[in-house]
Amino acid sequence: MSLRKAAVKTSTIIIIALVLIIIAAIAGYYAGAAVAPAPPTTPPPKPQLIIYHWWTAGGEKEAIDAVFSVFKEANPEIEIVENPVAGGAGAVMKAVIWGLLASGTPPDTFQVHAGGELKEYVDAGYLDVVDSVWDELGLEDVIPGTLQAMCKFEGHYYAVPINVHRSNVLWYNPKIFDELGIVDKFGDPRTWDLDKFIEVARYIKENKPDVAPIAMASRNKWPLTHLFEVLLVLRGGPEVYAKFWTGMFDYKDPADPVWAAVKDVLKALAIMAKEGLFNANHPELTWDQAAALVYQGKAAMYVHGDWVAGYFMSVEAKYGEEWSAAPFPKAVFILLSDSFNMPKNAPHPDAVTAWLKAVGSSEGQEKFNLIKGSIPARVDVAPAYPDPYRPETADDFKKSTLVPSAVHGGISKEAFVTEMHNIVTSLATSAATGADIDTLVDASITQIMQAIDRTGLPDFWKGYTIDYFITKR
Amino acid sequence: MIASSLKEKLIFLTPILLITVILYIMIATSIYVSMSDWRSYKISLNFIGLRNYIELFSNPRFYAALRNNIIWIALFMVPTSFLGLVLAYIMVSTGKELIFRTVFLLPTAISMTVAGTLWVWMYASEGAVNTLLKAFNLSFLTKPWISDPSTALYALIFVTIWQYLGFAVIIFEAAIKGIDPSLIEAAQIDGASSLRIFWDIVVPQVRHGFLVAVPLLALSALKIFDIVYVATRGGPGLATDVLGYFMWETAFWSRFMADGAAIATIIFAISLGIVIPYALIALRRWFR
Repeated sequence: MSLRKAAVKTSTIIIIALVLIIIAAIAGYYAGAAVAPAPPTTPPPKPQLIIYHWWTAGGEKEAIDAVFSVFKEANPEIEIVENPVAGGAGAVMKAVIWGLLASGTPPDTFQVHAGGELKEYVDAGYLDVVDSVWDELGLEDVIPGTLQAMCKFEGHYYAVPINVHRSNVLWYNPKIFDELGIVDKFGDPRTWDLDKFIEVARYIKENKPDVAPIAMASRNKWPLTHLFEVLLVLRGGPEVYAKFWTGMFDYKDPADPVWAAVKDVLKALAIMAKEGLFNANHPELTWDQAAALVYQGKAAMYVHGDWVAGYFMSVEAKYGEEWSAAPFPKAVFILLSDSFNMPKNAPHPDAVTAWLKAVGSSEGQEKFNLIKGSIPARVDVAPAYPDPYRPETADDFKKSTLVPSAVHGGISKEAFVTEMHNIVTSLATSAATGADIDTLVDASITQIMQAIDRTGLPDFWKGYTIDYFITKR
Repeated sequence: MIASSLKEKLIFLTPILLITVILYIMIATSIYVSMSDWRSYKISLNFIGLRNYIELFSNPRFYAALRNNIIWIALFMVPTSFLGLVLAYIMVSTGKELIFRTVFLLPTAISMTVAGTLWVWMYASEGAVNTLLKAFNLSFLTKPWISDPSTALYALIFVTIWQYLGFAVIIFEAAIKGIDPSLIEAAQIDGASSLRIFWDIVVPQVRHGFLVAVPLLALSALKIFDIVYVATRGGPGLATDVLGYFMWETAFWSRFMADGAAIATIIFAISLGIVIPYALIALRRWFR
């Protein structure tokens, strides 16, 4: 009995103590807030730069470390507090950042795709203007119009781009191409149109049935939408492409010319799925596994972004023998770009300004992109590329017509792109099981119309025109 | 003794009250958000009534996901609990509990993301499953398990059965051990076979085991997300799409927080449909 009583007594004391501590803490907090902050008794902490990014894979990490070293050289007193959040294209990091921004405790800077993805943060009022960094570095003179537009909303810049990737590239296996005489027969892939692309795929299927004409990986869905994006430029040109992804056309009218191009591209995808022009196991592969099929000679072609070059080099596949690349089409450059920004109420604004200057500097851009496998956002920086692919891309970046990528956060709204992933993969899946292509395509068009409505795509870009996104050359 | 002091009651009730209050505040917030216009990074809590639900009910994807969830619950719950019972019975009656328990609990201990990744490799067209089938001259059974929309859902359901079996085994092991041994001994003296004992004594006597296992398994299948995210993202097409993944994609990928909350609320409502009958039965037993 007495033991039990003692136990109760002890627990009562503990609880009372805990309650007192909590009350004291709360009282202390409010007292501290009400009264002027107590003078610091310790010397001010070392200035920091709290940065979030998703570059954790091999190659990526080294690339961002190179920019850190450029930053450190100019700002040795600032400590970099890195918060890498693994997960392709920031799938996980976006949720983390959202929580920080919404709760009013933003980091100093974070990685974001320039374009629509960046605009979502701007619209929510989370970001500060960084016009002064653009002015000071003279970036308007060295960054092409489309990429400027992707960082600029309502007349102000909100981010500094660090790199450029190209989304429309045809990767192919040169041995298979030579063996079948593809280039002699069908011409340079740089000039193919949509019909020719399908024709070539069918020809490969006929003559080399054990090789998949087009490599595909739809386990994460987006590579199929990526193909759709590239084929839409191929079929409709940059204007139709921009109209479609921004919803700036009469989308409720099925007779609008944009729908004709979209219809052709959807039809092409359905044909590819139905006629087995993709590798049959595409729903179980990720983008790098599909790229592997090309250099291993199991697939002939692959339409994907130029991070594939980085992948081929990392597995030491031989250029000219195991892989080769052609801009597809050459005349248009679909670009995506990673950028850094300054959130409102960033804890160390001076450090962020210094960081953005490092990001936009020639040295930072050169060092980062050499390792990352991308090209600089600044056209005045020309690193000595060790690979055969990038010089042509860098040259096209100056000479081809530019449009932002939709699948990679540039020109569209992510909610709509997400719906497109499901619509396009559903179309391919149903086509592969033998359903009628015309019926499927019509159903997809209806779904896309509903998705444009549901996601509020046209409102997202209210006040902009398609010319804003296109650098015509 | 039972009439404990008020102070004691408070001590024990406070944590429960705290947890309950926080939980219900969160649920209430979610339900409120589901009736708001929060559809971007910017928090927006203007009340718009049931519009999000009406839109959701007009979205064919909702029904695709719901259908898959229902199939998942049915095809996961029944075999897992029944196999769990059979294995637990074999385990207890052979006395090899330690080995069995270790073997069956191992998959349960692996995280779903790891299991999902492993099984995608094994299910690959040239993966372990098909290779094994070929080795046993069962080539006619080989399939592109994950790539084929007609098998993908069932392939994933099988992984969850494999994972949760150990959990069911443990519950039924405890239930079987709670059976009065004299019942079984009496049956054995009367010459009943093991199968007969299983059907006529064990199964009726472990009803409370089912009462624990079945709702918990059903809830696990209802809120399934991780394996779908890792293995298929709901694909091919929408073949393996489920409400949990649909919710995540809507709330965090499309930033349509209100619509995501609406899906979450529906998941919550369905789970109440599972939990309330269970709670009623449990309470009735409690106060009997």
